[in-house]
Amino acid sequence: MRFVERVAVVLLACTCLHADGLVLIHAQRYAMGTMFDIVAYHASGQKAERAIEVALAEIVRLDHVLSHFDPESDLAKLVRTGRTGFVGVDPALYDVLSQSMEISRRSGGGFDVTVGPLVRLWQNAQATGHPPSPEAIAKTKRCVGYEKVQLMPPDRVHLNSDCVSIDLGGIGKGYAVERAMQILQGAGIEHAVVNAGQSSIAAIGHPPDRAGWMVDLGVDGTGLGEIELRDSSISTSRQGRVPMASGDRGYGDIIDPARGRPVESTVTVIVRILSATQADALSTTLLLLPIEEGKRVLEGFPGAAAVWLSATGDVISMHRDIRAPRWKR
Amino acid sequence: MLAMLAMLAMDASAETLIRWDLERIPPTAALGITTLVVPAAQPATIRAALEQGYRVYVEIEAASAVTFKPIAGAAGVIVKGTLPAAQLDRLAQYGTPVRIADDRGKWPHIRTNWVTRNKDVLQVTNRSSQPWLENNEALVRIAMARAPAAPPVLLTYTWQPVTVSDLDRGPRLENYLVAIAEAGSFGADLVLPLHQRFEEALVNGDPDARADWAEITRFVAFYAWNVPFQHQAVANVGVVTADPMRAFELMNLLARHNLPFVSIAPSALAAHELTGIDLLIVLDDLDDRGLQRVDAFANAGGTALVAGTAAVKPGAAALPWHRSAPVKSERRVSYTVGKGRVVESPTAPSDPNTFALDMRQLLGSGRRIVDIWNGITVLVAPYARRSGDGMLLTALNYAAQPLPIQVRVRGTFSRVQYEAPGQPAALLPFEHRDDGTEFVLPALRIGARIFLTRLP
Repeated sequence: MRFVERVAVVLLACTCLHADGLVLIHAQRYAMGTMFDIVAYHASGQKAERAIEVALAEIVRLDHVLSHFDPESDLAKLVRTGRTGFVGVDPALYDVLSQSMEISRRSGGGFDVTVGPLVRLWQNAQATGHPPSPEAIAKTKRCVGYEKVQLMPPDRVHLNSDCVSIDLGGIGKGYAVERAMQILQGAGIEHAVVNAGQSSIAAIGHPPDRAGWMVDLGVDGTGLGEIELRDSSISTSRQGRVPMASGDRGYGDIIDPARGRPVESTVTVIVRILSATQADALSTTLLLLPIEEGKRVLEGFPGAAAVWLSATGDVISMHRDIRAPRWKR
Repeated sequence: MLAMLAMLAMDASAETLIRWDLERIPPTAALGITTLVVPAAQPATIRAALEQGYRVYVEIEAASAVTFKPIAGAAGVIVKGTLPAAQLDRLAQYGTPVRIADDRGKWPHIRTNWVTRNKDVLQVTNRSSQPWLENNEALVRIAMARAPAAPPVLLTYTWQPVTVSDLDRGPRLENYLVAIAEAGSFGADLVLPLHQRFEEALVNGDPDARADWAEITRFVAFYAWNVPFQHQAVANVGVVTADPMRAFELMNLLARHNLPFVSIAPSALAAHELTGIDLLIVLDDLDDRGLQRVDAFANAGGTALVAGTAAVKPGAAALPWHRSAPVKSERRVSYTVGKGRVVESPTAPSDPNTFALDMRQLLGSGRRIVDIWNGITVLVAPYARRSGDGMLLTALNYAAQPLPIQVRVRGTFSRVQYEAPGQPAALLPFEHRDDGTEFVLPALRIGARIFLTRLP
């Protein structure tokens, strides 16, 4: 078994108007460091185009709100001003933080959006080729901890530390996918899929002649190769690693906040659940936790399913059946 | 520093030629251009274009060159594909200018997240992926290195729909603009095919089409390289390979990660000065003189990676740099040689993306010509001013939407001027840090160029 080579090919043959009168609309937009694709079937191509455009615009807006790269983002402003007291933030930022805190609590701190200082510490180690000292790790860990983020409804946030920072990389794309899907549904779109750089995918309804949207899990021979995704979301996480100048293996970009070190695992985790936000956060979280502990966390999320895959694509473990139910049309 | 970069070709230039298919053609005054490329298979269009006073290049497929006869009044012939020398000579005998268009490129775009199979749309789930840029920089650089004194590479490609909606409507304005900007950024000429629907709309005087056309011609003019001073494309990574196209994906990913490279044939290495090369990547076997050249290159301060050749396989004979003590890491053996080093990797690179990231690390931040942040959909190309006191940087954002891009250029410059199509030139604030010049491109939508000058 091996991971399928993931080569996205250009669509060369496609009937845009289907027999049942549904028009296929597809658009894409770059945001959050990746490409978002939205596909929808609808009786009115114009209506679907408008809805997709609004959804893509919201994704781009969220990028400006949630980015930790952009010094003018709402998040960056919060980090600059939120350490001295409660400050008002964009409702979307508050919503993401609120959901992040909830998942942090339920995962015992496994998922933690305040891990940013540790991420930067190890990025610096990658650049210099020297791992940080235990003292530097310990010192940086003092800046990390989700409990340092205090929320006051409806939209006020206080960062209760002089060095805490926030990185929404583990949840932001999922949130953007979910918001886009809400906009599409609000516009009356019943059959659509939103794909954020392959790592976060959400689907409503189904394409014509299918019970759900086909999603390739990237594994040959396990029987899990493809699933049908419908009214659900899926997210995939795996530790990435860039070699260092010395030729040694580099450090991954997913950091375990408890240990203050990059996750060593070579496992791929795929999570399926209704909420794209939760799928995104949980797939990262499960990389940080022992499998059994991860399964216990998943018990707190009704309907959540997950699969752990080895580097060679073998199924290591599964929580519920990651394959979508066989929908009847 | 500028004199210390490898020059790739003659003075940079680029020209976009518009390809037209419809028999009806707007007058030259309406289009604002005087040259068209028309396929030989459209004789009526050729006649119509000539009658309206257009300068017409006739486009033919390489396969039909053997029977092609020049058309009276045509300005020249553009041959798509590879043409044997004998055929080229035959065409040249007619006295008509002949240009070969490299049709191996792709209409530049960012790949979709989709896969199709049996007409089914298939989403693929994977860890978050960096957008995959379909681009032609490596193709242009390889061609430049093959014939440095030749005219610019002439690219051509057909429209490839990216989204399903594109199937119906053809290229959008930004698709045309990115194509023009890409060729111009990398110093290539381009035969740009217009979609039939767009041609029809232009013929009918459709206001939207006319507005799009105005933007297209603005880009064509911007990328015609009417810039003060002459510039030459530069590189500081040398890739030694007998067959650049066999190593294409490696070079494609070097380009993708903004590592400007020049390909060097193994037979040419011994005599190559390697001026300005900081990193030499050896992918094919070298003779003794070539190996000595690698050793001398490292001795003078360069870093050489010898990857997967017979010379570095287990059990091979000693190499010139083996006089130094080896330092072993997980995947490599490194030898300090004089002021530089030679790194051996017994296996050939397998994953081009990882390899390119690896090469960035091996080069180190101090020796990278350009670094960018917040711009993973952006490719930059450096050019040195012939006079040696300045540099020009082209920047191209394949995402075609405004992004603030942070840039660090090696060397300290005292003036940073930014130009983009349709925008007035602006001086950018900058900082000097660690022998580099850092600045922010405020909102790079598609393309821009940055003049970096050292004032006396």
